[in-house]
Amino acid sequence: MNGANILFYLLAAMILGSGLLAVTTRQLFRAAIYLLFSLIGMAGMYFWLQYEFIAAVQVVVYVGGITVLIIFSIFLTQQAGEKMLVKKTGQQIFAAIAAFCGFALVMVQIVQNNFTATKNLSLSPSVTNIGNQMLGVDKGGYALPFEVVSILLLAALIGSIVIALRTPTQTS
Amino acid sequence: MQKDGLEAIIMEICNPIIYHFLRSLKNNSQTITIFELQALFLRHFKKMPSQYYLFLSLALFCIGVMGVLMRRNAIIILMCIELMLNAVNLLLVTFSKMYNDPNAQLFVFFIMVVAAAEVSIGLAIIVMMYRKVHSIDVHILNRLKN
Repeated sequence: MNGANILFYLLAAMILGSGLLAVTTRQLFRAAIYLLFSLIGMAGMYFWLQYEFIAAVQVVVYVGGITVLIIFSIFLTQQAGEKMLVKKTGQQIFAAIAAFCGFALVMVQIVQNNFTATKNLSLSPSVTNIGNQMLGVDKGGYALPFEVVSILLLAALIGSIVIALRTPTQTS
Repeated sequence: MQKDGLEAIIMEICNPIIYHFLRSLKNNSQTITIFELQALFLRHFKKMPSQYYLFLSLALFCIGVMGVLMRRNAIIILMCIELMLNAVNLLLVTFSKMYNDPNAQLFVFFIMVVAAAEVSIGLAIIVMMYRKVHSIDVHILNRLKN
């Protein structure tokens, strides 16, 4: 075991441990904080895989945006220190068994398949290549999905404004 | 070339980040090029088999599925969906690294945009629902059933 493996195992333990704590803890705010640590560990894994721009976007969008949004909505919907209701034990056991069966099924497929990595060094994941490919209109370009995604963001913006603007007299 | 002596040992024993840090500390003219450094990273990536990254991604996805099936709180369910989307992102990045294909990382950005839009709209709907029924329990929100 060299230093590379040790770093991978540390990051994997951080991601999986805080992810597992996020779905099993009884307090909602602690779940959000555990989710934050899991997302930070994922950004570290992207750094480790040398995808620096994806790691930066991960930190900005997930850690800086989505987690703060989740914490805001927790404060808007939750009384302080209130424990959450849980499902019945039979349903919890069934959920764990179902997730584990899916895990085992795909795991067997991954172990049996041998992936052969390609040797050649093609395009490096630099920001220039990402921008050229994302706005390219020729073969291999992603200009049309880029525009569709921008329309989706506009729709989400308008939708959240419409939801938030509804006055109490209209809702009741 | 001094690269065969002590630096080779450092290259083999320490991890590449420490090696890169040492090189940037020395900052001399005959520093190794970025392509050699990338080849070094690729060799270390090959030492860590890419199946392990797939195992990690799969385990994180199953944790998310378990959370969606197990919990009753709507915000926790949205958080588990975020975990699952992150697992898919890690899977795409791993395959992009394994096959040297830059197309996969663009899908990662699209997935991030869709996830951000989805979670903002979802949380807005949850907050509005809490104002009406004073609960975010998904077992109470079943009025469409009958």
